[in-house]
Amino acid sequence: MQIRIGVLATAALALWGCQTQPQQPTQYPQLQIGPRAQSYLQIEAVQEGYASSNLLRAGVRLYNRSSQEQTLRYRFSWFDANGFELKGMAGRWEQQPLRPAEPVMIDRVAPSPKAVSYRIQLFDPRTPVANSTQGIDG
Amino acid sequence: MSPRNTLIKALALTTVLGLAAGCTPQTRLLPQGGVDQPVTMGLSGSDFAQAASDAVQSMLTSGAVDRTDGKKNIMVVSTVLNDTMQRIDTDQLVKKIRVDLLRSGKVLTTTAIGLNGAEDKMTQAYAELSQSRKVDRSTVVRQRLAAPNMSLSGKIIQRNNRVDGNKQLVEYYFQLTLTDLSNGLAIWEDETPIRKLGSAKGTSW
Repeated sequence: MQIRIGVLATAALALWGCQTQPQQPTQYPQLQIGPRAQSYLQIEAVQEGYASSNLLRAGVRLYNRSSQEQTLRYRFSWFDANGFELKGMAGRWEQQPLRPAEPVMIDRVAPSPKAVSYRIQLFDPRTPVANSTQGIDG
Repeated sequence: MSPRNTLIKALALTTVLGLAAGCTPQTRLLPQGGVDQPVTMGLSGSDFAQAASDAVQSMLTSGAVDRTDGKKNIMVVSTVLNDTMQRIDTDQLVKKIRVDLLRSGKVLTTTAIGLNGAEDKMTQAYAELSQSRKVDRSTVVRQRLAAPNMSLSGKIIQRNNRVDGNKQLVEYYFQLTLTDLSNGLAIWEDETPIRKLGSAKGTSW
């Protein structure tokens, strides 16, 4: 019996360890976090509002809960009312160094007033490219 | 020369050629936003994209291009000076800013007015169509060029510094200003610094 439980626990741990799909925290459906980034990122809040009167603005406040400096690779994607992604430099992949426990706010303004929704992808640069979709660059 | 020697020489030559071809680095297409983008000491496309993106984000969040009368701003591109050691076309920066501002729906850029004449010479050529006998004048539209209300100017600066004997720090500063042409006041200004640390043997021009 003990052996069976041991085997099951090992299998469960192995499966958990092999998980490479980006996670979508249920609390913040706009966020997509890569498996590596998930291990050290602590999300404090997702904020949204408007800039320049009619341009959607979104941001995420986070910090690095590990004891080592990390580099975060992130991208904001913007979508129109029909769900099509909008082009623009606000949809570039960018990088942000994260020192331990230092709160960081990353925010962007939508490229067009047509933007009605957004997605924020947060990945570690070491996550294989196949897991993080390639962005469009203006 | 014996046939055996000829064969050996031919084999050696084929091997050398094969090795040379095998060692040639393959040309590959770099995907946008890839993590393995090469970093150069000089200015590259990603540096211009970073500077332009920062400028547009700063402009839009500052409220400098907001209008309450429902009209759009009309911008003219003034001078963007290249004060670096590299031969660069500052349009690489300006074009990205123009495209993103146009997409934002806040700013249109005039191509008919500029310090060195019209950017698009066709605007002036079109004015001469009404004098031409070859053109059906009923199809010629009377031009009324829109005057700009704001001007974009700036400067790109480079500073090189030796660090620890064998390293060099290259700093680039993208300085941009938006001027209200009705009163000559700068309504928005910002600077994007891009700093690169690399071998002192490398060149940045």
